[in-house]
Amino acid sequence: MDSFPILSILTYVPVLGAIAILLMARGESKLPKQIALAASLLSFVLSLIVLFRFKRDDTFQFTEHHVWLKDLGVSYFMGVDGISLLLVVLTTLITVIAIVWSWDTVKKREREYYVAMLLLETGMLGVFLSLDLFIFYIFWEVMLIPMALLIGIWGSQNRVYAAIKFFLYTLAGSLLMLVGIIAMYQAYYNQTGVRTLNILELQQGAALGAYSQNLQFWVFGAFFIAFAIKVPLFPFHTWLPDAHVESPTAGSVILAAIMLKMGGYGLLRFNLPLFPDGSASWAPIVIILSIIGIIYGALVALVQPDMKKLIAYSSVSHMGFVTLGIFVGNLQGLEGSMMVMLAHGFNTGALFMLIGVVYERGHTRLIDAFGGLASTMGKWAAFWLVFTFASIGLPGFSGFIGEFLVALGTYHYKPFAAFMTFTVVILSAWYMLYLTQRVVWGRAWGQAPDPADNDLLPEEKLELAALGSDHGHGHDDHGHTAHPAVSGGDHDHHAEDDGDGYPTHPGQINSSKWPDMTMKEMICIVPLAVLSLAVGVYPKPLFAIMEPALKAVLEGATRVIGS
Amino acid sequence: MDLTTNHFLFVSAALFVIGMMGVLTRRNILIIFMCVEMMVAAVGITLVAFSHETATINGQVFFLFALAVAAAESAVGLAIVVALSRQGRAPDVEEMQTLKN
Amino acid sequence: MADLLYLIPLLPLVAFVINILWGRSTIRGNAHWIAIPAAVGSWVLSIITFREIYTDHHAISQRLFTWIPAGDFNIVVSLYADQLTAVMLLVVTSIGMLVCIYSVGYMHGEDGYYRFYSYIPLFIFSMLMLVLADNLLTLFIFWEAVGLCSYLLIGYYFRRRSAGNAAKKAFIVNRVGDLAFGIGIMLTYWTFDSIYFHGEDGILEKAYHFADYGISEGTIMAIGILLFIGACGKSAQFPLHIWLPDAMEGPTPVSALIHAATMVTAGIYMSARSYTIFIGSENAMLFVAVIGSITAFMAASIALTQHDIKKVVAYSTVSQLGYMAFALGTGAWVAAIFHLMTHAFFKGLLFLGSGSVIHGMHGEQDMRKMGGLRKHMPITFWTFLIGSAANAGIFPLAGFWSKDEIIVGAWVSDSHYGKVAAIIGLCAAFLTALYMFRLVFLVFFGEERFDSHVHPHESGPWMAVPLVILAVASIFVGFVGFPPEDGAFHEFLHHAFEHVHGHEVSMTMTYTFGIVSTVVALSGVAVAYITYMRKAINTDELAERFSGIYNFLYNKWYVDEFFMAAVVNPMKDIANFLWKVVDVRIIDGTVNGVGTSIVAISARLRRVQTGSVANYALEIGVGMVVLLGVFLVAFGNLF
Repeated sequence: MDSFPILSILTYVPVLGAIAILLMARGESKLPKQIALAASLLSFVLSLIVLFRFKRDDTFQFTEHHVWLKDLGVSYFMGVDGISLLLVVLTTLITVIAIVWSWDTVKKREREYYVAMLLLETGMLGVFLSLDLFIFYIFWEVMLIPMALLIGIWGSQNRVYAAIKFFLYTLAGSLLMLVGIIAMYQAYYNQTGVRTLNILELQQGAALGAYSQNLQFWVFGAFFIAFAIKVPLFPFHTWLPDAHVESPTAGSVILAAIMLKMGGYGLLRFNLPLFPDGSASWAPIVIILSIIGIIYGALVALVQPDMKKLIAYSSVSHMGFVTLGIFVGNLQGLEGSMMVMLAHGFNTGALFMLIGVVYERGHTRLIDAFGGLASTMGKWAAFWLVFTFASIGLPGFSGFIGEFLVALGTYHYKPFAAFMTFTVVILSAWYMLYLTQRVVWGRAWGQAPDPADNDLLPEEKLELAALGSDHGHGHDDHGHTAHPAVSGGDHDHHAEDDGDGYPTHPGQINSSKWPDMTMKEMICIVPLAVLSLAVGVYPKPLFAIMEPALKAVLEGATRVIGS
Repeated sequence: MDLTTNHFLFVSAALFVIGMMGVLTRRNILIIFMCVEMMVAAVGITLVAFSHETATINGQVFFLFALAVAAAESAVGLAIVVALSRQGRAPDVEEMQTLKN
Repeated sequence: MADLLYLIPLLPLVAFVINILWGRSTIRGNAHWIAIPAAVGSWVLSIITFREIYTDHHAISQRLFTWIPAGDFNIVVSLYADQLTAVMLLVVTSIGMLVCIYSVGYMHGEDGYYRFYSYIPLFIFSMLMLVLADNLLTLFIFWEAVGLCSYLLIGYYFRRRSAGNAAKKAFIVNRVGDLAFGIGIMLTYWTFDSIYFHGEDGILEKAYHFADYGISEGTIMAIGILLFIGACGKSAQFPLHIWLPDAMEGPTPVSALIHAATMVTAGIYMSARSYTIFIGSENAMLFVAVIGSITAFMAASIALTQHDIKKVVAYSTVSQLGYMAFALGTGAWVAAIFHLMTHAFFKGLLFLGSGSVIHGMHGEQDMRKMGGLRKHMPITFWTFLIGSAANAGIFPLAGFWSKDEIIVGAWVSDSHYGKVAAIIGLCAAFLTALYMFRLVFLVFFGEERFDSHVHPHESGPWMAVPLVILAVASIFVGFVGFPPEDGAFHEFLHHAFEHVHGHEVSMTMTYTFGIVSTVVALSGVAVAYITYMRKAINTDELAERFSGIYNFLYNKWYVDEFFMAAVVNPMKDIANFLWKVVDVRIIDGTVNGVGTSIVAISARLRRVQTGSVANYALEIGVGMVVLLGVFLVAFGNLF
């Protein structure tokens, strides 16, 4: 590969942007966000260049290797393979979208906001790209702080609690990981007399038998807990709903679309290749926890009163597929995991943005506050449906492929486990469509009910009867055309008698005058919708990129598990 | 009767305990300082005694360092006392509880 | 034609894309001019395909692209059309085209007209892909896709909460079946190393010779039952039929196309497509036959008591689907597909006809508020009458031939259950004639029970022409199966079921059953006539006297209530428990507990910091003594 350090450049471009923003004078200016957008776009373009120049094999490419602290075996080692490449591109894309999203929604401390955003991007890219545990750990911690700040400063009411919870959970995990790193470093030194933190060399150590069974068990545990918290795997998931709910929209998007993937990535990159024996002994535990998480997340999502919390719990359910697929010990499972990670990035990220749209109009996330948004926000409802079905794994969207492959792999592992896993097709449809039913369908608060509705509440019937005398039941020659007062949408001439005089009950927000999605919102959502659909219909290029790398991971690990 | 190392150690221990009791019981900073110096001196006696016993120079060199440090320490301490008296506050340790909590 | 097979589904897909992207802004009321040509085009291409398969006797296939290349699990999307597919193509495109035309009249001026004409082509596309799929997973994709279309179309009047609820229910109940279907696909893959139907390594061959591959009969049975549970969801078999009557919240043309003629038959099609799996296991067949016959009887009995015209027709659909299922279960594969086809025409006709009635009655759906419509809407009346007679199985209309064949097929089958199924089938046939003519008499005859300001009117040509076409089809389409068991239809479809070795049915038996079913059907009509025309029997009194049975039927065998009480509510309770107790109290409680206990301990511990130097010095002294003591005790031997 040529010596042009493209990976370092794409990683540090955001941080340079952040420095540029900090050097600027304070004051009202659009410059911070323009610089942030430019930096993240540049990073995105560079990642696309990497994507298109990537050779589809199982080697690490675009590597940069510089010895740093020679005696300690620390080096600056970056490189990309099929696993990290896709996540890097996802990261740069989502960051661009998050920055565009924040354009007019963040008004407090803009400079600092964009600095945090850019630092976060550098941290996340570094985590995916570094091949030396030393710099990996540094990036891992670098990414933690800006995220905690995003939640703690730009979040909603209960933000400090959520930020601290997020911080402590993740920190606890990463400290355990640090212990694991040191133990492994020492064990490798004892075996070979070489001090190194180079991941590729440490992987050789696994083949050399540097790590005893006992050590593998414990070090696996240390790494596993760090990543399981990040995923998050049941029962380490309780920081997630709080973090999501309190975080600003762009923060939720990044959290869901990228940060959760670090757990899955870490398990794929470290746990499986480094500790084959540890993986073998932990696999049943991980699989059981994953399946519990899948069902548990889906069930708890069912009864949430808060939209963001519902999606957060659904993330727990989806991410259970990731850990499950990694540990069932076959290629279908691994590829399924990767696909779930990518699909979850698009779909859940987009769902959080769509919730952001209504949050910014109604300033609440409570499900009961909304109703019948399809009649006022047609485009929003259309996108909502697209991502709802993508998220519940409708074939043709990205979600299905991953979940099906994981379930297929799980079936090979244990049929009953696959059955339990696949029950999520019912549960996910249930919680998402139940949410859709309450928020998107039905009567919009502030509009009169449709007399043809067979499921009207008793009080609505009374109100309708009272209203009937004023408006007169204008059945046109169809009878089932909507009440004149509720027409909107296509019949613009009806818009003036849009029934905004209709009473709303406490806890309901009158949404009858809300504008549909703005240009900015469309710019953010449409790429994700296109990607979700494209990946669902033609995922072959993605498989071509990730398959060699995953095969290599599997070969290192399957000599023990799955057999 | 010969003077053995043990005699020196007894004197040192007695001095140390007296000094320590002084530090613990007295409230006036100046007296506490004196007691601290007494404890340092006690330790010094021990060092010199062992130095003589083992016929090495280390203990005596060490004590010279300790004396230097003790001098610096009392300089700082007395400066604090002077600063206090300038503010018109009594050199009473019970009054000084800013470390609390 | 083999190279152009892709055009059949592509045309509706293009229509969908155009209408969904530009329908709202520019096309608006002209959306049907995009959809109808596409549907007609597909129909013409389907006829060409059919002809080619009919003359050449071989299947045609076309490879499109690799979808999932996950290691050995390599899924190629390709189209495959054999005789079975050809029949389905014709059914789907014919009904789809007629519904597109009909809806121009029916949906005229509705909100979101373009949405209707986007979803319908999307549905036609998905359904065509479903029948053209050459492997289980591609079939499953479009199985789900038609479910999506069904969801969107049931929820078409999205301002009505009831429409949304019905759509949601349909999708979720279908998903219950999909769970089994999905697991069935996985089991198929790990059993046969393939999910492709055809070819040497295809599942049909392997399942037929399963013993040669070392596959146990139990596995075959499991696959069969799992696939059929999937079919139960889509084809509304007991106990997963509950979504179909609710689905009538959608516009009536949708009910005709999706919830009567095409989508609901997908389950029957899928089971027929994977027929060797069922042949391999008697128990799986028995399962199918039992479920099918229960469904046929149950739905027919419920249809007797319903007042909503669309609900009656909906339960009738469920009942007819039950017939098809028990035909599958008793090995009468061709008869099942035959009934599927004839049913598509006459049930499509019945739905479009009831749509015409509802349209003419300004949206009224309650039969108690109709009556005497014969005079006001003659075309609707005559076509509806033909459809009802066909549904009731009256000689020589389409339904007679196919239903008769199913009953004969059940009677002569190897299965012990076959004779029971045949008898249940005959009972259900009696009920079918009864409820169908109850509907006809209540709606079209008798006194006019509607309000004086309602003026029923005949529908316009957009709606009338499809009705007439379907009525003609309902009369004649049965003759492709003549003579019974040995008609052109059987000759044609035989190639798709090459491993089926049919039973010889004697002429005597054919005639006997022909006469028996005609008598049964006519007696049903007679009872309906006596009850609803002559009013010789007071139905209210009857309902009063047998109120237990009546309520049981009227409340649809309480299946919905059962599911609410046994599944939905407990699940919600569990979910609440998990959230409020496990999540908040136990997990978060533990985490927060660690935090608060550290705070509590620190609060005690900080008292040590008195701020008094003397105290600190004392602590140092005591600490030193303690440490010294510990050292002396622990390392005493060193001194």
